[in-house]
Amino acid sequence: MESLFFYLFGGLAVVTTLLTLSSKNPVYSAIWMILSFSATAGLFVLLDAFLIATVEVLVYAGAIMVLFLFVIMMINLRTSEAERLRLSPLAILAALTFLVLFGRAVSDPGPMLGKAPNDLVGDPDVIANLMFTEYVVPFEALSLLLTAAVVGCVVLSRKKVKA
Amino acid sequence: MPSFAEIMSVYGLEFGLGALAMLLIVVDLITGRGRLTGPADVVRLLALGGVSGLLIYSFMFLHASGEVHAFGQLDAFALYFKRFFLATTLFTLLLTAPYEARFSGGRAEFPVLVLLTAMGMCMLSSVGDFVSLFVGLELVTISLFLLTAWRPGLPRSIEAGIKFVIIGAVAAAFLVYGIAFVYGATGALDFAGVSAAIQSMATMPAGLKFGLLLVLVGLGFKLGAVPFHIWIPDVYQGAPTPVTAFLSVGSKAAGVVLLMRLVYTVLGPAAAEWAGVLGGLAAITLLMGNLGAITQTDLKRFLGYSGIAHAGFLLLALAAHSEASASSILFYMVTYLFANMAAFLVIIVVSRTSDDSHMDRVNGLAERSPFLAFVLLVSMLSLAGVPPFAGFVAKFMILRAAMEAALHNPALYWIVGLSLVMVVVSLYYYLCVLKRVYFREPEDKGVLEISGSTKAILLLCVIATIGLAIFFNPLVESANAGAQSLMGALPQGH
Amino acid sequence: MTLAAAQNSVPLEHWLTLSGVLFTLGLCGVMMRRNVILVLMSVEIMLNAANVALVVFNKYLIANAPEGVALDGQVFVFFTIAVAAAEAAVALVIAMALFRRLDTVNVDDVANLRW
Repeated sequence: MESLFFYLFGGLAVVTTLLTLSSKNPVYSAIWMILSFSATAGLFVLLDAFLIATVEVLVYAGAIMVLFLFVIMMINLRTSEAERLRLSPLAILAALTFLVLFGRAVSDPGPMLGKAPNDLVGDPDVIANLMFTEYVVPFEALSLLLTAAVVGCVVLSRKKVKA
Repeated sequence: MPSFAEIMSVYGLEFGLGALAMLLIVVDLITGRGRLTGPADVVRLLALGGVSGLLIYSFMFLHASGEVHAFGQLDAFALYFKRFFLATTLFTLLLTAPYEARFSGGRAEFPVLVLLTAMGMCMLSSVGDFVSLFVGLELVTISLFLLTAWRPGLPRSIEAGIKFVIIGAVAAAFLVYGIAFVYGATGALDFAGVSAAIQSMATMPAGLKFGLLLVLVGLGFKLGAVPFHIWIPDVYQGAPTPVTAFLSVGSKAAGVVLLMRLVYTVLGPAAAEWAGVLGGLAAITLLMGNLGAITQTDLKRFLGYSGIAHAGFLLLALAAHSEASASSILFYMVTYLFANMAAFLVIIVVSRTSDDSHMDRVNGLAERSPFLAFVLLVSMLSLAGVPPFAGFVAKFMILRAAMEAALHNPALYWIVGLSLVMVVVSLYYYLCVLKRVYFREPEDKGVLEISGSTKAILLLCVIATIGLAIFFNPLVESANAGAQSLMGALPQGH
Repeated sequence: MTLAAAQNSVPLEHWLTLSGVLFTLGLCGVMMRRNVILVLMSVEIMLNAANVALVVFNKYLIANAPEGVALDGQVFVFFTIAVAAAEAAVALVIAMALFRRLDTVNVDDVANLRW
């Protein structure tokens, strides 16, 4: 059962990601990507990370992708303008190097990892406790990061700008 | 569970910077009421006053402590860099004053973002786990994305912004992926846990190496190391000049502080394996930076390539991996701060009306303003590492530390040799700029007006650059203390 | 008994390969697509793949510390999701400014400054 769902959601995530990247129309891309994130949320459920699965749907598939769709609609991207895909040899070399190193890393990921999963469950209670004790400093810094983003976005999105 | 007092003892300055930023937003709201002029001066003065206050506070009342908490620490190393970041922020705000009129809007918000960036930088010098590292780094990076595109009316600024965002976001993704593999291999996200796990391993598993390599990619981007430097020339040229100055010193130092913490504290003795990687990076960074700088015709772009070349020197010192080399990096950053800030302020003044930083703008500067020409002379020669200036002492310290380390690691001799050749190359292109200043005909013979405050800042930079070459002992001592605390935190695994 | 701890669980290598494939797809998207919006989406895919890796590693760690394995990896994912949201907002605002100013969202058109 377990592995069946893994291949189902994993396959779905890979296929929808491929469709995201290959669609000519950005709106389709965005919608495929929402599916891709939903499939990832399914994967998180398989890993017993229930809270993260929820947040993945709410924030990624919900907020972030809606933001993307909103911007795509707003600037009314023309799909007729065929986009020339660029494939430089350097990029291929970089991707291949990455894959080779990645392959070696997967074959020997480290001594702390077991063959079978542990029985940790992404309990919201435990996560919240960690976030407000051990990780309270980055949590507060995060609030200022969001403030900085809001302040900056307000300034940069004003319509009237002089050269 | 950390108590509030404990957190404040480490992150007090960051709290001050964050609170100051919030205060500025409120003051802007109350006094501004949508007007574009007026409150900006109030806000900037408040920011200047606040940062100076925090800097003085950090010198008078903050003391390094050997206590290592799970969430971070305020050792001599962190304190040194916090003061450095505060000074950088102060200079950035001072540089904004003569530039500010060119902003079409967001003049009051500009200091807010600068302060939040500074907060992230200060935080990075104290962090003790990868979560804080990531959030702090993103606080710095995202604020700098926005600051780079701060003049949306100017195509150059927007272009620089979009390139910076794309490359910066990719670097962040690599960083997270790398941290994931480090986490998997060591089972910990805090530096102490990761370090302990690494010491307990006979050999590094491939997964750990992969993770560390990706983390190096993410930090190399901040530092401006080749091949992650591709954003530097465009972003330096396109960003508003005070932001370029902030980027060139602050962003580089943020990369340096994290790399040092990771190499010296987290990797510890295991860092010997990485000397080759760091040395190789140093060599290509030195080569690309110096060769790239020769053909540049834009001053900011030119300083971007020169910054890459300086990153090469810092990487060479990191590869040497000794207490002396760590101390030399700390010293180097301060000399780089003064020389670079002076150069960027001169650029702001000479590009005043046109906001164009082509090298022709400094042609015949000596006739138009002998003082500015002299400042540029001091700054360029210090960057080149010519004897009577601070840059020479800094380069000398790095090379001496590298030569000492080369006794154990002969490959370093080659990189030291290369760096010496590159010093000569750099002397050539810095002198080319000075040749324009002293021997070319100016396009515009008018005398350049310099305000009193600008003169004072430039004078401070010049005095510091010359002074540090003669009275370098106090700074070297505090750099040594910083390096010692960094090495002292090293768990003795062998 | 949790879902994943049921018998014949998926091996770690398969999970990691999945996250690696997603990451590489995102990387290829960044390098091949020229539309700024699509490039930004590709970056989100990369970050998402990194999140998968974090949760997977958290799930497959063996207790080595006295207090056992904690949920640090999952907590980190929350931070990356929040940062990704902020990053996406900032990137899109700059992309909008680019579109308003230069009437393009193609990376190749942004070449007044030499690459």
